[in-house]
Amino acid sequence: MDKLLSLGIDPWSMVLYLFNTGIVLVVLTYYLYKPITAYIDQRRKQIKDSIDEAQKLQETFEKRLEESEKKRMQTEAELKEEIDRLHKFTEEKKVELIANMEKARSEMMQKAQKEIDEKKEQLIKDAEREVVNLMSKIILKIIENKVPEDVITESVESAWKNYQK
Amino acid sequence: MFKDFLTALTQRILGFLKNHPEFFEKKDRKAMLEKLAVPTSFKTYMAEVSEKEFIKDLSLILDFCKNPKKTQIKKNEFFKALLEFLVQELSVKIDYLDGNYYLLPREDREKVIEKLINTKSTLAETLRAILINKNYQQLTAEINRLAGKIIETPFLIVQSPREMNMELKREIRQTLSKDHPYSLPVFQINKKLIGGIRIFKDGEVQDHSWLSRVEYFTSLTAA
Repeated sequence: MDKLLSLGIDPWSMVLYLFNTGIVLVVLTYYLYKPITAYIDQRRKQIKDSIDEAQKLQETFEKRLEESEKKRMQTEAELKEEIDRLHKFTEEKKVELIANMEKARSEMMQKAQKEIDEKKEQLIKDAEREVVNLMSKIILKIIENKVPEDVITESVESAWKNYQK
Repeated sequence: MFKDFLTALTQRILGFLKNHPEFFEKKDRKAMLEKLAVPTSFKTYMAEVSEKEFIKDLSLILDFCKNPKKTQIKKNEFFKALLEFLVQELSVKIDYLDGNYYLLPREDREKVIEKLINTKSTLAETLRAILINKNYQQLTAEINRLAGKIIETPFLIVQSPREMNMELKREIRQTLSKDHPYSLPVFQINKKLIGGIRIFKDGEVQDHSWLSRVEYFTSLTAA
């Protein structure tokens, strides 16, 4: 104790200080620490609840997002399938249309070619007929004017003999 | 056209029957008919016809002379005899007349016919009148028209590039009459034939002309 006094430390002041501090601590604890702690606990609880709620919300959101994503992918797959089917249908129709057009074009070409050939044949026949007629006329003209009368008379008798046979 | 001829013929036959009233009762009529100066075909007719049929035919002849267009003479024996005479006897006289005859004046034609038919009788006179007054086309058309009324017989045309001589015409007529005794072949000139002949029989043609040969050869070259 003397040592403490030599140092300037009063033990009874120390006790008093400690008592005061104790009172302060009790008062602070009763009037400040507990409400603050209660408040802090309440806040902590609030925050925890909020965090929990947020987490739940997040989970729900994630779940919904996942479902939505799943649905989107499913829809996408269906759409893709539909597009593929449509594409295939279009391609088939295109091929069919092209085939029909090609067939029609081919038929038209054949018909046109046939008509051209027929016309050509007709023209050739007409020309041949004209030539034959002209040849006949020329030959007949020559024979008519150049054959002697006695030959003609003889031909009549000869033709009559042929008829009798 | 044949009214006067028929009248003269009927008159002659009736005159003969008047002189021979028992004619239809006789068995050998042919001998008696030698005295009757009518064409052969009518003698054949008279030799075969009965009295009853003859009287019917007389009535028909009268009707025909009055109205030739409306009188039905189909398959009548008298008219068949007439057709036979026209086709086989008168046609020979017609053949004697060449194309130039029909261009002659009437007096010259009369002289030609007088030489051709020189018998002095009413019957011959009617035949002469027919040959003088009618041309070849009228004669042949009238005979063919009459033939069509009497019997079904084909219409024959013989075409040649030039006028045929009489002998050839007669030969052709005789040959064709073997198959068609009641058809009168009509001879036509068609210079386009150039040579040979062409015979039409009721529209069917047998072409032995040079024209047909030329057309045949030219058709071959075209083919």
